[in-house]
Amino acid sequence: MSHRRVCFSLLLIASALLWSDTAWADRHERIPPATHAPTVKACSDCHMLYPAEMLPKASWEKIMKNLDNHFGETATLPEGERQEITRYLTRMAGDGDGRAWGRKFLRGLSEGDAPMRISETPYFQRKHGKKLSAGVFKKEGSRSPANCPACHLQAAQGWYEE
Amino acid sequence: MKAFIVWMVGLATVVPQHAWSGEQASLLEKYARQARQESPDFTVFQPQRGELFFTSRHSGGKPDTPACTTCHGATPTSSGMTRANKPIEPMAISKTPSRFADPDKVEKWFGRNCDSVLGRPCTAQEKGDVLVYLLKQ
Ligand code: HEC
Ligand code: HEC
Ligand code: HEC
Repeated sequence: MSHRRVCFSLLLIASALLWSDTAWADRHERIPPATHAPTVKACSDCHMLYPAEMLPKASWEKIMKNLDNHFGETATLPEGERQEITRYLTRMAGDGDGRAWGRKFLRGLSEGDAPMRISETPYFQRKHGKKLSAGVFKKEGSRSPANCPACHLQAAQGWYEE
Repeated sequence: MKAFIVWMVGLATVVPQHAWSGEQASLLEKYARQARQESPDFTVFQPQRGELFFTSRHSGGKPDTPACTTCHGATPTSSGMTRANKPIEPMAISKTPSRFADPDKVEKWFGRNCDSVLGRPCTAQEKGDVLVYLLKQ
């Protein structure tokens, strides 16, 4: 084998490795679950802790201002705790430090849009479109699109692919 | 001093003796003090009364949560389910030993849940009755 040929094959192998690596990362993106203790404590008793990255700042502000009527439940918190959690969620939001993970969740939203649900975002609806229309959410025992771990068994660990 | 002895003797009769953790015992003591303030007729917490309160349908709250057992499961040893479909671990201390160990958590949830079920805060006696009932399970 000539010197040139060896170099060429090495290059080929390297690029193949690189390619499969990015492709792998694309398909297996993990959103690391929050570890901010006050947020974990306040926001994971009734449902899994939704990642801050999946909504824009404006959404978290609106959600955190309306805890007295939170999807029909009372989720009120002492004012100091409420403010600390709001700071964390808005900092890590999809248009904040959580941009790297959150960017795609914000696709299709305009500046200032503040959806109250991840399950209302255009990205979510597109990814779950067929399921939503077929009423599979009820049939599959998840009862609600908000019940991510019913289908994404490892959602609490940050994995959302099938 | 005399007042203190009377208080201690009173406490011994109000709170039945069990091997509860310090947190659980002092929470019950707090509720006993409050219950006495709320009603001069109060004597002791009763698990039977707690069971009745915990398992009965009430009115005054939200229509879809008429009872504590709507979310907490039919018996204290069975699991329940939140309105957002997340499982709730059994309330019985024998099944979930970590229960009622954080007084702030207990107060937070009595506040929310009594409002959902009764449309009003629970009295100290209701809270104490429920606790002695669940701590016996
Ligand atoms: C008392 C129970 C309770 C607590 C505590 C609670 N939630 Fe919720 N939350 C709910 C319920 C019920 C829903 C609606 C679930 C459904 O539609 O199935 C919900 C839904 C949500 C949704 C929308 C999910 C979706 O995409 O459809 C977000 C976001 C949310 N909660 C954030 C929070 C945050 C942040 C906290 C902490 C400050 C919190 N929740 C604490 C009960 C609670
Ligand atoms: C009824 C079951 C079900 C529920 C509930 C559900 N999902 Fe999904 N989700 C799916 C399925 C199935 C797919 C794959 C769709 C596809 O590949 O076209 C999917 C895809 C996704 C994707 C895209 C993954 C990728 O790599 O393309 C994300 C992100 C996601 N879901 C997040 C969520 C979140 C967040 C929630 C809760 C707010 C949720 N899902 C609730 C079934 C569900
Ligand atoms: C709407 C659903 C719902 C109803 C109705 C409900 N609870 Fe709860 N309760 C919860 C949730 C969710 C938690 C927190 C999760 C956990 O502790 O596992 C909780 C926690 C508690 C706690 C704190 C437990 C601990 O370990 O500190 C007490 C005490 C409690 N509930 C009492 C009651 C009583 C008494 C009633 C009836 C008046 C009631 N609950 C009705 C959902 C409910």
